[in-house]
Amino acid sequence: MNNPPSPANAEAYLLQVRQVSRVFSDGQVSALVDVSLSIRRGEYAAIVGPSGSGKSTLLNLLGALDRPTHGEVLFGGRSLSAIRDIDSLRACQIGFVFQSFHLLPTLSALENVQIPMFEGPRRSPSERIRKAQELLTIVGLARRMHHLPSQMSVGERQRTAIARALANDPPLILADEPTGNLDSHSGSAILDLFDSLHRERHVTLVVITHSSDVAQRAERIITLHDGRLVPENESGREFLHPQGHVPAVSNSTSP
Amino acid sequence: MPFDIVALKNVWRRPTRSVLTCIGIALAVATAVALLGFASGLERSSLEVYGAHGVDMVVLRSGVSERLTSNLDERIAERLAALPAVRAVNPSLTDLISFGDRSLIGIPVHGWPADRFAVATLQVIDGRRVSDRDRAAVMLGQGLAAGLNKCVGDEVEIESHQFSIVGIYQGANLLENSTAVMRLPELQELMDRPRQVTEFQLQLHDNLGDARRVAELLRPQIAALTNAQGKPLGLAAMATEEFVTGSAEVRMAQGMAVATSLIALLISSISVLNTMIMSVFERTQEIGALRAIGWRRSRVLRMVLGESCLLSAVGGLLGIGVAWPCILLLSRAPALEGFIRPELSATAVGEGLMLTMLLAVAGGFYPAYRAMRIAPSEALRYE
Ligand SMILES: Nc1ncnc2c1ncn2[C@@H]1O[C@H](COP(=O)(O)OP(=O)(O)O)[C@@H](O)[C@H]1O
Ligand SMILES: [Mg+2]
Repeated sequence: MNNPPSPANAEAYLLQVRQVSRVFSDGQVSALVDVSLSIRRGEYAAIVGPSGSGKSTLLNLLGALDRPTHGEVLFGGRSLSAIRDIDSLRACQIGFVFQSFHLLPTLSALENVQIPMFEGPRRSPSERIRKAQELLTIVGLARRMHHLPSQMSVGERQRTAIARALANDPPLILADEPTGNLDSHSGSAILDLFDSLHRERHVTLVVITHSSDVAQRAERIITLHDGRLVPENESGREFLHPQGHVPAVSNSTSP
Repeated sequence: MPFDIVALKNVWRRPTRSVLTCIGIALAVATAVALLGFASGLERSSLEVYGAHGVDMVVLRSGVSERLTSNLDERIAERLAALPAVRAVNPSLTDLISFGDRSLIGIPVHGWPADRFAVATLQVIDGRRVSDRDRAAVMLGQGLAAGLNKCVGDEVEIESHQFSIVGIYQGANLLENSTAVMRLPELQELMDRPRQVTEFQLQLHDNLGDARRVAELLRPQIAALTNAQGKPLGLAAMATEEFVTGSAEVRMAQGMAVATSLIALLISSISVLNTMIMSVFERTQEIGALRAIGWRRSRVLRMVLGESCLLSAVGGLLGIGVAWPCILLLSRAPALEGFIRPELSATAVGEGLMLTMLLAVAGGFYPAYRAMRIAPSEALRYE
């Protein structure tokens, strides 16, 4: 279990999951059972599977939001359990995108994007604003910077959240059903954005999805079933909604 | 964007709830400021009354701090007057008496010898002082006379006896203006306390230097006085200031003010606690998300503590903003005649504000602690 990470692997793989299980103490739920997988630097991976199959649990482990019951997760060749300042790792190395955005409702888009900058590399207030403006321009919100989340469409809110995820230039973006609350049109705009982040900025992307759109764009599909990995050649396209049937909540009120 | 803006804007997320919490705090602070101001006003006023009559020391029965229950033989006055440092002694009997048809109850009435300094230092504004030739004569403080609607020459009923009003005096302040003065023997007879007084008021020679030091030297001499049989007289002498601050009325007023203020502020800190804990619970996922995107626990703690301090500070300032003009107005009201003073209230304001901030932190700490403990994985829950 403690075999030192080989330098070659650490070069190639940003994330390595080794025989990971996650048991929740309440109710003895085994959310993940003996999962092993690796994600290359710059890879675009989709995680699919039925509801309750452990997708979010896996993403929590990949993003250092939770610890496995057994096994270990390596980030850049280092075991997460050996990293002392896990907050700093999350702030600088990982960007999160959530299904329901989790923007602060009283802050403008420009202010929301600055939220992660309080941690991470030191920047002066004017540098923070400049960086936030730059990111909002990248996600196509140059003209929406001073809008509150409630004044934006859900698609624009998710783009704000993506700009926020990019605030400290992390090499890894983790997203849990990022298009789950969006209509198909703004959903595909988000996916275009992911594509360009992947192509132009070489960001590593791990995206949980129900949508076949995402799965088609990803380079790789990781399928979970009852907390276990389904071998990739038997990949489970059946868990994806056929095109045009994306479960969309277009006028969601959550920011 | 400075970090504190986040806390500031979070408070505005639920404006009604925040404003109501602030109003609660404001009421508590206003109450505290008013009560503490009142208590120190009472202390200051009692001191002024003694000061106006040039009283340097007060002698009571030892072990008694409530002057009305002190009981002393008036003949001790001569023993005190014989002490070299003492210039003059005024034996004083004070009792709380009902006036007229019991519409005014508990009026302090002083029985003083007509020929001593206490009567001599009264500022008569109408009529004259009582003299030894008077029978059934009384002097009224300005406020009391106005309250009874009486003037010089009128009769007033005191404890079922008719007294004629010979003079009206202006006291040092509101407190003294609602008192009455009659000759010592008349009050002793009226109250059936022959030869009894409640305290001796001493004036010291002022060529002896520092009055406090003289009082210190005099205190053991007075405590050591004995009667003809060599039994101690059981006297306690105090400098006026010490007597006033230690007196039961002042201590009670202060105790009530402090206790009531503490309860008011405690309630307001519980309201901060309640507001903030609700706010934190509502934001569980959002705070989890902040942790997920890299915020440290300490930053979450700072945010939530900042929010409760902001609520308390706004509430506290609002309370002072309400209490302060009221105090200024009251201090100018002729009816209160300097009983409430703006400069006194400044300390009360400071105390009130300090207590609020303290209790704000107390009320805000638990919610902040709970917020800090929210797991980052909450962000992905139910998604
Ligand atoms: N914090 C938790 N406590 C207890 N059980 C949990 C917790 N999180 C997830 N689970 C359980 O683990 C299983 C996998 O959940 P999850 O990873 O959220 O699934 P998915 O994201 O694929 O829908 C489910 O049965 C869920 O009820
Ligand atoms: Mg999920």
